[in-house]
Amino acid sequence: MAGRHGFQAPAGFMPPHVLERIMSHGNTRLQQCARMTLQADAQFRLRNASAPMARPADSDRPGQAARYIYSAGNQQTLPGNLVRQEGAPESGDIAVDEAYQWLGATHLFYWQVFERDSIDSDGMALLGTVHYGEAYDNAFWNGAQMVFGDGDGELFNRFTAALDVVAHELTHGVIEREAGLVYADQSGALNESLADVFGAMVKQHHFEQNVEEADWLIGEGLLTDRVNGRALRSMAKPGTAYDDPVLGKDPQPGHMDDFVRTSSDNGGVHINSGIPNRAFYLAATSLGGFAWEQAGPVWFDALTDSRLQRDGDFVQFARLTVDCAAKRFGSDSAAMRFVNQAWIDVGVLS
Amino acid sequence: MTGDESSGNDLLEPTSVIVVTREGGFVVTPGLSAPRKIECRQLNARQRRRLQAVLDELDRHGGESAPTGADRRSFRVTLEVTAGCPRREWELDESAAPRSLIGLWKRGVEELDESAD
Repeated sequence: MAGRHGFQAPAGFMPPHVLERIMSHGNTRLQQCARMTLQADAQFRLRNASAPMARPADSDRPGQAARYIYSAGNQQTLPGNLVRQEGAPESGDIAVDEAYQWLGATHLFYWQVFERDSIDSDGMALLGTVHYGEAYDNAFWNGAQMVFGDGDGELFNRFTAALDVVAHELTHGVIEREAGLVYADQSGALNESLADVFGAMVKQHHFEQNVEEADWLIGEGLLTDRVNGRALRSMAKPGTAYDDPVLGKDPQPGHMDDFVRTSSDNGGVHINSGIPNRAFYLAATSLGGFAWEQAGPVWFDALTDSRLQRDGDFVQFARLTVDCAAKRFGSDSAAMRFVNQAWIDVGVLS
Repeated sequence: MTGDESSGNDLLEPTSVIVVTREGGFVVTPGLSAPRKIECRQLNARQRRRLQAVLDELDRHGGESAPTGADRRSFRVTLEVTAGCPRREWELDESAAPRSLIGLWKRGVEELDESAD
């Protein structure tokens, strides 16, 4: 422990990405400490993973979702009480039925477009809990399931109201299973951007919108009428989604010149994601048609490419998408040129 | 919170400043990320005792593993003695945050008046 007036490292938890960096860059003693901590952490998780309840059955039919929707009853215990499962009729609870419908739309998107069967590509059960907490203004992926709050009703509506939000959370599961992008700094912003990119595409796919018809907003419908804003993020014009006395102004940059350096939000993962978000928007709109037909597969190829490192940065991902575009569409294709140009336009490539 | 259950290892001094921020989550906005600042010199003895009890509770949460997943929210508490110079820092996942800390973030000094001894 540090002296009374000496600074101590944050108590509570040490994020795994910090431990991993210590493992790769620290001195021998620090590496040993980090290794022991990671091992203890893994043992802790193993012990606790199976304790609360066994996971419900995965799907045994390729392409068929296995959805389980729970209600936390405004408590914060997961997963809560099972309210609706695959094939059951509507429950009459709007949040339950939205979660069921939007998880189904997301599953269908991944299956129809990429032949990916659920989060793990092997029919993994989709667990969603609604009515989490009281007036809870958030949705998250906890490594095993998706969780949605009801919103406070003053600033935010219920988080199941927006299809792209549900798809965003499910996509975090896909990202975790594939690239495992470390949730901090540029790799964390990439993680967030990919969740937005696929969230937006799921919405466009469900409503059959081409790149001109799409609004390119994330969380449209989530803000109440009292808020001066259209959504939480804009992929077309990062930084313009809202400007409100209570929420403040949308802080997302759309170009590397405006990259935000901050220690909060795991190094600004929800802020700097505006840059790769805009790159996808530019590539998709340059190519035209439906985003999931050209730009989408390129981004999916890059996400599932073994060369994408867990701590990959914007440049690594950008180069990978250009390479994937060349492989899929040809090295002199419009897709490759437009993808490359999109990254140049946001200042990631030169 | 039980204000009289302080550990005796008093971290607070008249010049201490406690900064509480909530970070992360699917919704990250500058307005909701604004830190809550509590200056000890403006607290009476009872409020300060209760604030110390909150910090004691944070210490009891030490060593917990970081949550997995994405879009999760966390609380960061910083104890400063001189302006801008952190002496101690705690970071807790929202699900592990004691009620008293959430109250402190939401209501500031009011929480120190409302909670029972």
